[in-house]
Amino acid sequence: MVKTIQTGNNKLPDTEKILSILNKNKKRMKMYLRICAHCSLCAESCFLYNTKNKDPVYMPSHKVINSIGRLYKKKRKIDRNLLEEVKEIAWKRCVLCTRCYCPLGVDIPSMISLARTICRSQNILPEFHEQS
Amino acid sequence: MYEFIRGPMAWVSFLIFISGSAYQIIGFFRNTSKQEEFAFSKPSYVQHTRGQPVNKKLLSFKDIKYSIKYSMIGFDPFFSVITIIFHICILILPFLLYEHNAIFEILWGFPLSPFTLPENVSDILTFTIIACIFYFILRRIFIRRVRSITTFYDYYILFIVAAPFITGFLLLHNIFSYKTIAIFHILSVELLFISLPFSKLSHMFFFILNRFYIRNEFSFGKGDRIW
Repeated sequence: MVKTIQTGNNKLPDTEKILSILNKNKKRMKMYLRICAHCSLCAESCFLYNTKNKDPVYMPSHKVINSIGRLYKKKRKIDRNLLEEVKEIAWKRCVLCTRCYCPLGVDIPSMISLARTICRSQNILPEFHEQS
Repeated sequence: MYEFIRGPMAWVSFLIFISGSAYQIIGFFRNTSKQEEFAFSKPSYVQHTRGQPVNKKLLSFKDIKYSIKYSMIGFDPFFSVITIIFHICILILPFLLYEHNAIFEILWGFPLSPFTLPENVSDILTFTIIACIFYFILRRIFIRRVRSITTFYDYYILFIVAAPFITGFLLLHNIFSYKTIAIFHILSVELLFISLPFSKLSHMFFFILNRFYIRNEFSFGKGDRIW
């Protein structure tokens, strides 16, 4: 059972658990985040980017920077709103087809999958019956 | 001031560059030496084609054409060509510049490289680099997808790469005061050396190293760093 602290309507995320997952993968993920040159060459390798009118939010690097990048930046200040946003990115903007290609060798799918793991650990999951 | 920048500070920046690079590379090997438990495992239908015995059929003209079409060169040919030119120029110009070789010969008794570039060619290379950086800046401002992930830090990185070449050009053509520009030129190179291992510019070595570790079919190895 996932441990969450209930405060009224807002469930606070279990920061310790998130931090332990983040720290376990810290060095590799930090390295990936550091070497991303923000060149945007990964954009066309994403089929979602190509089919959604080339909207930059579907670009692999945009997804990674705004999900796992923000989680590493906020650390102890991670709140439920942020995790909801990460959920939106990790599930609705990425299908983990592993076709994205980074010219600098960043393993984008593993980063998105880590974002999913963190959301899953806090019981924040997409509801597929919802209309997107 | 000039002597300090030319002497001890240059050595310090070299030392930081070498030890920082060693730290990053050793750290890379240490982080990837044991296979971590992944939340994500590759689907059984995704197969690695690299790192396996080369199938001669794979190297047919049609396949090369296919792989170019679906690589960076196929997606964005203009930018790919510009980055390739930019990186080649940036790597060869400092080593083949006549003035650098002359200074080395005076200081250490041997030149950096056996041949040097004529002055007009090195000028053309410098202009190419500055033009490429200018194009990168324009790209960051005007292309929507690049603008969406651009931060101030990206401009700073472009600036520290451009600064040695701009000051070097001014120095070669004796524009402004020679000594002041020389100080700025040496300082900018030292800044570049110091920040190289710890910033985005570390893609210089991770560009190659990461390819053995990434888990998809574009990796050089099997993606598990097995050597």
